[in-house]
Amino acid sequence: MKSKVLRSNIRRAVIAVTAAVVMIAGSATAYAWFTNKRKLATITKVNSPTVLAIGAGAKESSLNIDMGGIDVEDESGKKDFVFSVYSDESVEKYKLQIAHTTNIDFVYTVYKAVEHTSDPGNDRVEYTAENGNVYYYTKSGGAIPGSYLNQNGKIADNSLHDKSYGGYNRVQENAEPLYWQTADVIQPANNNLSGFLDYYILEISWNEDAVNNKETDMVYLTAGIA
Amino acid sequence: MGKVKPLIFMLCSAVVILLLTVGFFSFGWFINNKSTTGDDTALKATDSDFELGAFDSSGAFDEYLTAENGTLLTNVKTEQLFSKISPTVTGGGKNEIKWLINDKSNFNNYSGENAELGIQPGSSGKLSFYVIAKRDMALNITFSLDTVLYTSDAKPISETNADNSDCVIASDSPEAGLVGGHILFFLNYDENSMLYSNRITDGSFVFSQPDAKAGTAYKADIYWVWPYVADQLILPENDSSFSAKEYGKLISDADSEAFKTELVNSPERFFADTSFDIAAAVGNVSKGTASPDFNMEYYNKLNARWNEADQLIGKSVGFIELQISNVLP
Repeated sequence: MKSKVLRSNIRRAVIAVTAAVVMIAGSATAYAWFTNKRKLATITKVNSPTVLAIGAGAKESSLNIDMGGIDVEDESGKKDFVFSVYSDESVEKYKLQIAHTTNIDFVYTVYKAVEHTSDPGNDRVEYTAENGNVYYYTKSGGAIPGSYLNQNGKIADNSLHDKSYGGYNRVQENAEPLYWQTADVIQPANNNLSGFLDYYILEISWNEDAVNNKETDMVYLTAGIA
Repeated sequence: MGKVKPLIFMLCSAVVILLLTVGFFSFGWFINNKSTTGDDTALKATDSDFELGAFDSSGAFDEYLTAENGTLLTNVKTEQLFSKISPTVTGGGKNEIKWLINDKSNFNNYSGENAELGIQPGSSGKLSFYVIAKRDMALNITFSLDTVLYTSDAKPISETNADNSDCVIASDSPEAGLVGGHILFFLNYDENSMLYSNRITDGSFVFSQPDAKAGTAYKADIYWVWPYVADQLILPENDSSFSAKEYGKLISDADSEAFKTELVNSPERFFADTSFDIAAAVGNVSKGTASPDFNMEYYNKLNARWNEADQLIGKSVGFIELQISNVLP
């Protein structure tokens, strides 16, 4: 009886020792495997693309900006167009650029604009959205400061010619665009994580010398992250 | 006597297990092919022949990494005579560490003066690391280059955020495929021709140092590029359209041939929308803008589709972790 107890104790001890050996062997091999592996890790941020868009009034597609048919006999001596700059992401600041050809002696001026859903009266720009709703825009503050980058009198000088045309020199002087850019960076109004929406009025004005002679000018509006 | 027999059997089996264990370790010893003295423990015999390290400072986004800080080693000899570095290295139980960076070696995560933070199309740079030999030997290491993508929901590692595994973008997702085709890694860059070569295409590369000396750090460079437009990989090197642009060709015309094949064979790695005649577009555009056959429509489509893929990457991927690790034999 006594020896039986002893025997079972010894057996337990042997089993325990064996198990311990097996466990040590297991963990040792696993450790040995890991000690051979060496790793370096670094991480960077992927900057998300900021989609800065230019649109018409009511944040509609820029296809709806219609600047055709300016009648210079109009006594007001100017015509206003509304456009918008917007993003669905947060944008700290941006710049506005206008590039235009110089066939007609127009003056281009940009103002910040405020949107109204009911007619505020005089001196507003009316925009009819695709769904038929009418929106009104009025200028807010003075002309946005900016300057031409390549102006020589009323036409473009040579300073930016190469960037657009390379060595090609047979460009009619009025066909070479003037490039205008805002002087200061613009901070979007009401910018937040879901973006912003700024309205502008582009005023195209002329003096009394201008005549309707079916001339055409190309105007490009650009907004870029500053 | 009969009562003792089982005990002997048990002791024998214990010895057999011990022998097996020793055998296992010896086997490991042979695999590692290291000369060890008899009194070295088995564990030491399977330790690595080298450590990895890099120097200077922590990356700007290192708080998002689970890898630990390495151990600082001072005055480590390099291949260059009289040049010493103080890298932070693996080893001593730290086998996965943060890759330190500096102004010349970073992933746009160096927060020095005027440094660009974060990557986007047009970003490029170099990442260097050092292999420090632990004894005189020929080092021939296959490294695996892996990326782990996280959404922008990833948070710094903290007590409440042990890791960002819940923000990992699956490696078989369309975005991960596009990252593989748009963020490219090369082993060489020629400053004169401004061309990259030896692209790491299968996520692994070999590092060789035939006569490495104990305690010496050997440098390895990896160049990373996120091309601005597809042109840089497809148009001929001397295409006149590059002269007026702020970007140029990235790879040689010979390498472009291989790249074009890849574009056609795995379009999903390069274009978010593959529903256009990629083979025809690539074939046409690669002739160059001066070719009489050059088709502007193909050119615009190729670049627009490429750009859409960049947009998709930018919108879905918040962080990209880059790891290099030795591939175990």
